[in-house]
Amino acid sequence: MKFWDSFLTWLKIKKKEANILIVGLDNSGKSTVVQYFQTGGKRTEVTVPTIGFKVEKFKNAGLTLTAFDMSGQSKYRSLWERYYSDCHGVIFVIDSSDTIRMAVACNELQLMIQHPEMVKNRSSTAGVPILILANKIDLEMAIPIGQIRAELGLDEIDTHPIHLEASNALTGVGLHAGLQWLSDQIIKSNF
Amino acid sequence: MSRNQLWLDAFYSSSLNLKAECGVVLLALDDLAKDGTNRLLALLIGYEISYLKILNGTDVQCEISLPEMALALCTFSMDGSLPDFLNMTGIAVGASSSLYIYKNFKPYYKYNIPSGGPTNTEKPTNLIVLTIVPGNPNQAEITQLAALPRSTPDISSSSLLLVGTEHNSLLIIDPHTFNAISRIELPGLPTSIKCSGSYDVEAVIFISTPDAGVFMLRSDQKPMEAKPFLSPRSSIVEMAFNGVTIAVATSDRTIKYYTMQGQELRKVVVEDFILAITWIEMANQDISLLAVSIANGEVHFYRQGIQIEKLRFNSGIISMTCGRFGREDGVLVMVSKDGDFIVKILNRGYKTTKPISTENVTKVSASNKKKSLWPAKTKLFVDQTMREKEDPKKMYQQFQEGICRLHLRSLQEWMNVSSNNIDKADVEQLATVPDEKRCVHLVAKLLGSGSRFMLHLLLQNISETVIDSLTVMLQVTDGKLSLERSCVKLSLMLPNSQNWIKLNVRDPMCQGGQVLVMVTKDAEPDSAELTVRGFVVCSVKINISPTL
Repeated sequence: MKFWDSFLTWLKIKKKEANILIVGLDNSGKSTVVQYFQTGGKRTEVTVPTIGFKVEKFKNAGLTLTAFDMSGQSKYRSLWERYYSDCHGVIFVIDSSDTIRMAVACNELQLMIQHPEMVKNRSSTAGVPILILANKIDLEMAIPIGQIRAELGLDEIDTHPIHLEASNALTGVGLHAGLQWLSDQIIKSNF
Repeated sequence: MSRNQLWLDAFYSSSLNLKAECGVVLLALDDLAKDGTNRLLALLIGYEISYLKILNGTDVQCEISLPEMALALCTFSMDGSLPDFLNMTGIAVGASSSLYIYKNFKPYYKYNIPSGGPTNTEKPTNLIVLTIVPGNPNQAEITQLAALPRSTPDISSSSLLLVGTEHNSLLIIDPHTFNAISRIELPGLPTSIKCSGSYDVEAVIFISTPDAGVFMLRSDQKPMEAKPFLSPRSSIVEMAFNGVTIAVATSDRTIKYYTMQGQELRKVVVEDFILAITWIEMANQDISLLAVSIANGEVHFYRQGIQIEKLRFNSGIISMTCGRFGREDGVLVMVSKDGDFIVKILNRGYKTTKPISTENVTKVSASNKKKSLWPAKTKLFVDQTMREKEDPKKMYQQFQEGICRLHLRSLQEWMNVSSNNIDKADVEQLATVPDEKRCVHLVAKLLGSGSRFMLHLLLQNISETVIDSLTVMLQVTDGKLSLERSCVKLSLMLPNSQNWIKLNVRDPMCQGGQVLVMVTKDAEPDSAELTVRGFVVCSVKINISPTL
């Protein structure tokens, strides 16, 4: 079946489509990241806290991505795991200036990586690729990227391909580079 | 890989300077600017100047100094009629007999609580006029504050302020108009006020007093009246109420859980003095824990009376609160004795494993299952229950009177027995005892909870003769206490009279100590040796425990 899908995709009869999950704590900038990818940097509407989740579509590197923009509020975080089984990639957004909640972000990342749905029923042996966007890096109180890497313990994670990118969702710094890495990883493991 | 720990280490700082002069810090969490971010209020109590610090995350947003010793802090919703984003959260600080109200981080109003006002009856709000009399000596000091939602229990409803005063009363104040709606007399000094529900529907208010125990008030019973809820043997350290269960920590290192009907659920004994307790409630994770801070620097977490987690710090946690801080729910904010600021966040992935220890837990429910202990529904029992329902106050007084009579009768019997059995040797011994030793009765009472105490000494002459030349001497035998006076002379005590001596005792180091009070009878000075001779009539040792 996989071979047949690959053949149709090679013939460009079937489009390359993938589902990505955008998660992270509330107020980290997930919806702003999605809005940037959709509009190419033109801010059309005021971002309000997401309730439940939102589904948006955009294209990158010949890949049509369906983004599930999940709410990051603590009462909605239990919803994330319901979408793990169908996602091909994850964007985990972190507010670099939120010192107190860095421990929570780290814990949520660990909970996600350890979740059985994130490793089972995968075509490749590696887990789902995870792009971590250290957002709001332009703020004065933002934690340096090296410290974020250490606090999240990224060097110890070997079950999933992980990439950390410093970003600013308002100006688009780091977003394209990050999304390019994620698209490459999705294509490599699924198509 | 993340461990299965209950708390995530979010933040620790010893440089925020949260050390209070009195060693007491009051904490509160609320959305003060209506921007979805909860800020922390820390009231650092000082003898002359108190400081109110407002922390936004890890930064001190503003610091307000109060020119008095502030004792109470609460946040409240100012005006429920406005839309949610305009309905600002007010801060109320009780200092001396004034309520300092802050709105939008700025001073808004200073309200002097009325010295009189309606008692036990609820009156229309328009009839009561504020009595703002600066420096009125009859005005009682505010001891405790709490906010109670008025109509609906959600955050958008406007609140009423519950103000406990030194004159053993509870004032219910409408912060919108600053009128005292009601004034309820209490049997003791209110030191802690916990409430749930809403005033217009069915609010339950628990008030603890140091000597008389806990009292319950219900807003649906008009007029509101303080009814005895429980009276523990030891003095109450702190009380925590989560709307269903009330936990009472006492000075004998015990925490007891009670239902709202007064039934004891379970009991927990800890190994050191209890400094603070608080409930940790997370409805979406089905978590209900009781956090207990004890003097050895540990904080224990109990789920249904079973210890599930223990945290250890360098010094004792003197104040803690749990709720939404910043944008995160389930945050435990703690301040240690040394002024350290510690933030822990509840782990969403925590899974309950086997309890750490169950040895200290006593399940009271097991003993309650013995139905045979309950009185049968005899006619006497039914009659008594009916009388209790009709006039519980009278029943309580009768019961207390009966107990007093029983005590007196047993004492009388004991006296009779001991006087009959007394032999000659004892009589001779008694004869050598001076009159003063038998006839002077000394009662010492230490008031206060902080580093300043008031020592009340009551000297009674229970004889029919005049006693003269008595000296009351006070001596610090342990600790670094400072006494207002060390010697009081009583030249004459009339028959059946009593003398009150009131002294200030200060414990600047907060390490406690011991005061020895001796009453001596001065004999005539020996003309040859020019020395004053006398003997000790009675003495008493007063132990002051360390305050943190």
